[in-house]
Amino acid sequence: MANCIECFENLSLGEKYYKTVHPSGLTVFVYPKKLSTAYVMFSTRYGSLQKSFRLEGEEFCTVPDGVAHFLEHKLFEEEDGSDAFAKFAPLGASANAFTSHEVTSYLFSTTDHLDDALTVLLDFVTHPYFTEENVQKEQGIIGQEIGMCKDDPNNRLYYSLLEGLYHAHNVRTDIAGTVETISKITPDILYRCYNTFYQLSNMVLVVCGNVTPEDVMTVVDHVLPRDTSSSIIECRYPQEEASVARPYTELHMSVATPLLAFGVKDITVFDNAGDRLRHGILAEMLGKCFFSRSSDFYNTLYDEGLVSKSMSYSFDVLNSCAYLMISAESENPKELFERTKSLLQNISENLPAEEDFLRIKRVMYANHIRSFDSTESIAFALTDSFISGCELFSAGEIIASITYEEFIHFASTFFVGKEFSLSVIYPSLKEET
Amino acid sequence: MNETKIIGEEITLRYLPTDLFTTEYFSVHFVLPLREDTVSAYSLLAKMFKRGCRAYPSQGSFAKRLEELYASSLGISVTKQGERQVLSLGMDFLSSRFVFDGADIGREACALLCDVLCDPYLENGAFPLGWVEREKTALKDQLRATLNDKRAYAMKRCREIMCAGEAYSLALEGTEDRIDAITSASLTALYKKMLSEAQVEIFYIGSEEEAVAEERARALVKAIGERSPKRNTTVFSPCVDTVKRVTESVDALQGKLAMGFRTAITENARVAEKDALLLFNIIYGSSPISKLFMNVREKLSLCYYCASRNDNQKGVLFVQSGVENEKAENAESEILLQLKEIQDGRVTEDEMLAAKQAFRDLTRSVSDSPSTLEQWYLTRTMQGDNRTPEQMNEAINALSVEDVARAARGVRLDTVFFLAGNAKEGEVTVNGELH
Repeated sequence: MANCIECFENLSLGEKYYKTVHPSGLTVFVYPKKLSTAYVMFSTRYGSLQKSFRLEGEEFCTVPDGVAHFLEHKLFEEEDGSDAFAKFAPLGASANAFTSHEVTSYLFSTTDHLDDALTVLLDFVTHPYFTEENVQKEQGIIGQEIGMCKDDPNNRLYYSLLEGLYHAHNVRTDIAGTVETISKITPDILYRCYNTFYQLSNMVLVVCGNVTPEDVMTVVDHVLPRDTSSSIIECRYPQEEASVARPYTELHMSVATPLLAFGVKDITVFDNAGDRLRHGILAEMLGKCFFSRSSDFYNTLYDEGLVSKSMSYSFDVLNSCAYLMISAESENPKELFERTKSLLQNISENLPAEEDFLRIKRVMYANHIRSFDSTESIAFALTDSFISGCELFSAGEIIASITYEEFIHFASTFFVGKEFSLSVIYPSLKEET
Repeated sequence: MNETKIIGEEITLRYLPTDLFTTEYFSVHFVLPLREDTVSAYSLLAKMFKRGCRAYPSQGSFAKRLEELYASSLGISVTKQGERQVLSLGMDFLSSRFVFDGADIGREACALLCDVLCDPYLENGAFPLGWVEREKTALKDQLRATLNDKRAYAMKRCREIMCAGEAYSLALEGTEDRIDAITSASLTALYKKMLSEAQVEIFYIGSEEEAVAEERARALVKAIGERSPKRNTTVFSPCVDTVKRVTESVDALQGKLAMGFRTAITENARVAEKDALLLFNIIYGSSPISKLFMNVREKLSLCYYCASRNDNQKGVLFVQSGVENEKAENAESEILLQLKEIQDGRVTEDEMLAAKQAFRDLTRSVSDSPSTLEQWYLTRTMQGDNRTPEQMNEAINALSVEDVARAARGVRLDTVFFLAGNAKEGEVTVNGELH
C-alpha cells in the first residue's frame, strides 16, 4: 500500500508539492493549496506530433493526421452510450479536455466531491470504447469543429506560418487534422494508438487543491490496477533542415485589418531538459526587450502607426522542435516585417543595455511568483514539467542565475543563420454582407 | 466580507482581506451613463490612461515604471453593465513579502494609479493631440476588428437589431463618425466630467490591514477633488409582437446564429425572480449538461456549440450557435423547443441538481482570485444586491422547478439574426513566392 512520496519545496516562495510513482507506472503530482477550487489533470505524453511510432519489438506504423485529438473526443463516450461529461455535473465539477502538439489532457475543476470526480476521471480515461458506429458519428462533429477553426483568422495565420517554417515536421499540420484525414480513422487505429500511448507509465496525474498526497493515493489505489505491463514507446520525427519551406504565404479572409505572423525555427539540439528550458527563458527575455510596451522599438512602430495595437511574441519549445513567432495587426505588414527582421538580423548593433536586462529579469521573477496563485496555472505547469522533464521550481532558479553576459551572448548569436518566414492574411477582396 | 464604507460623495470602498495570493489588488470603477454621444469618448479616455501620466509622459517610460515596480500591472477596461458604461482601472502588485530590495511597492503602485487618474500628462491643459489622434485610430481598428470574430460579430448585430434605439445596442467603441468627431478639448472636458459626476466604486483586495487600504483609497479620493455626482439608470423594454429577422452573409465556412429574447425582468423585479432566471439560464444553455448542449449539439449534432447568456441588468437573453447554413432552421426550431420544455416544467431532478451544483461551484470559487472577488461584488452592487456568494447560493438552492418554469414563461423571442457562411473550402489563396 505504501507509495514512496518525494517532496519538492521552495522555501523562499513558501510552496511545496509531492511526487510519487504508483505501482501501475502512473506518475502522480500532488500540490496542496488552500484555495476552494481544486484543479485536476490526467494527461498522456501524446499529441499530434506522435504520428509514426512503435512499441518495443513491433514494426513502425504511421497514422492519419488528427488521431490524437479524435481519440480525446471519443474517450468521453462510455460503453453504455452515456457521456462521461454528464457524470461530472451532478458532482459540481466542470470537466474538459484538450489535445496539443505533445500532450492530451483530461481535466476538471471542482470545489466539492473531489474524490468522486477523481474516480470518474481515472475510470473513463482508462476505459476506451470505440465502434464503427460511434467513430462515424464523431467524424461529423469534429468536421464541424475543423470548419469553425478554419474560419478563425488567428488559427489560420498560426498554421500557415508553421507550414512556411517547416518542410516535413508534423508541427505544420493542424492538430485536429482535416475532414479528409479524419475520414480514414477506424476503431483499430484508435485502439492501436490508445494501447501505445495510454499506458499508465506514459501518463501523469496532477492534483492541485486543498488535499494531501495520501488522500489522492487512496483514490488512485482504489481505481487503478497495481500491476500493468509496460513497453517502451519509440517515436519517429522527420529531420528538419535549417532552411524554411517557403519564405512567404499570403491568404485572403474576412478580416478588418491585415494580420501578419513571422518567425524563425530553431533546430538546436539540447543535451538535457534544463538546457532547453534555459534556452526558452533567454528567448522570452529577448522578446520582452524588443516587443513589450516598454521597448523603444515597439513604441517607435506604434507611434508611426505601423502596428495597430500590440505585437505578440512567443517562443515555443517542444521536445522535437522549437520556433519563435511574432504576430501583429498592421495596415502595412510588409514594412513592419522588414523593419523587425532588419533589427533582429543586426541585433549586435541594437543590444539591450544592462539596466534594461535587469528590469526584464525582475519582470520574469515577479511573473514566476505570480504563477503560483491559481490551482489551474499550477496544474498546467506541473503537467508541463512532466512532459519537458524540468522540475517545477527550476525556472525560478534559472531566471536568478542568468547574467547580462550570458544574455548578450545569446541575443547576438540566436538569429545567425536563421531564415525568416512571413505569413499575411489580407481582407478578402469581395464585398462583405 | 460584504461591508462597504462610504468615503466620499457617491464613492464607496470595499475592503476584502485575504492572504491567499502573492499579489495585492487596488482598483477603481467609474460608473457612467451609456449614451451614444459619449460612449466612444469614454472608451478613448481609457486608452489615454494606458499611455502614462505627467510623471511618466510616454507609453515607454510608463511601461518601464510598472516593470520596475516588480511587474505591477495596470489593467484598464471599459465594460457595459446594463445601460451603464463602466471605466475601470486596476493595479495589481506583488505583496511586500516577495520584494527583496526593501522598496515599498504597494505605496508606489497605488500612488502611480492615483497619478494616472488625477495627474495626467497634458499639453496646454488638454490631452496631447498626438496621443488623441493615435488612439482614435486604435479605437477604430478595434471597432473594425469585431468582424474578425464571427461569433462576436453575429452577437453584436443581433443586439443592434433587437435593441435599436436603446442604449443597450451601442458598441463600446461607438461608431467611426463619433470617434472622428472627438477632439483633444472635448476629451479633456469629458475626463473632468467623469471625475466629478460618476458613481465611484473602489476595491482593495489583499493582505494589508484595513487602515492601510483605507489610507490608499482616501489618498485617491482626495486627488479626485470636488464632485457633483449623478446616478444612472437602465431602461427595460418590453417584447415586440413580431419577431425581427435579418440574414447577412460573410466569407466564412460556417454560419452563426444569434437569437435575442426579452425576459420578464424589469427594474423593479424582485431578487427571487432574477435568481430564478439565472438558474433557468444554467439549465437552458450555459453548462455542458444544459438542454441546448445535450440536445442541439450532442443528440442532434446540429452545431458545434450552442449556448445561452442571460443579462439580468437589462432583461435580455441571447442564444448563440455555430451551424452550417442548411441546418440553421432545424437548430432554431430545436432551440425554441427546448425553451418550451422548460416552460412546461419538463426539468428533471438530475438537471435541477446539476444546475444547482454548478452554481454552488461557482460561488465557492469566487474567493480564489482577486478578479473573481471584484467581479462578484461589482456585479452585485450594480444591481443593488449586497449578497455574499454563500447567501446567494442558499437562495438559488431553495428554488423549485416551478420557479424555473415561471421564469422561462417570461422569456419571449424578439430577434433572429443569421450570418450565413458563403465561402468554399480551398478558396483562399496561398502564394509561395516572396513578393
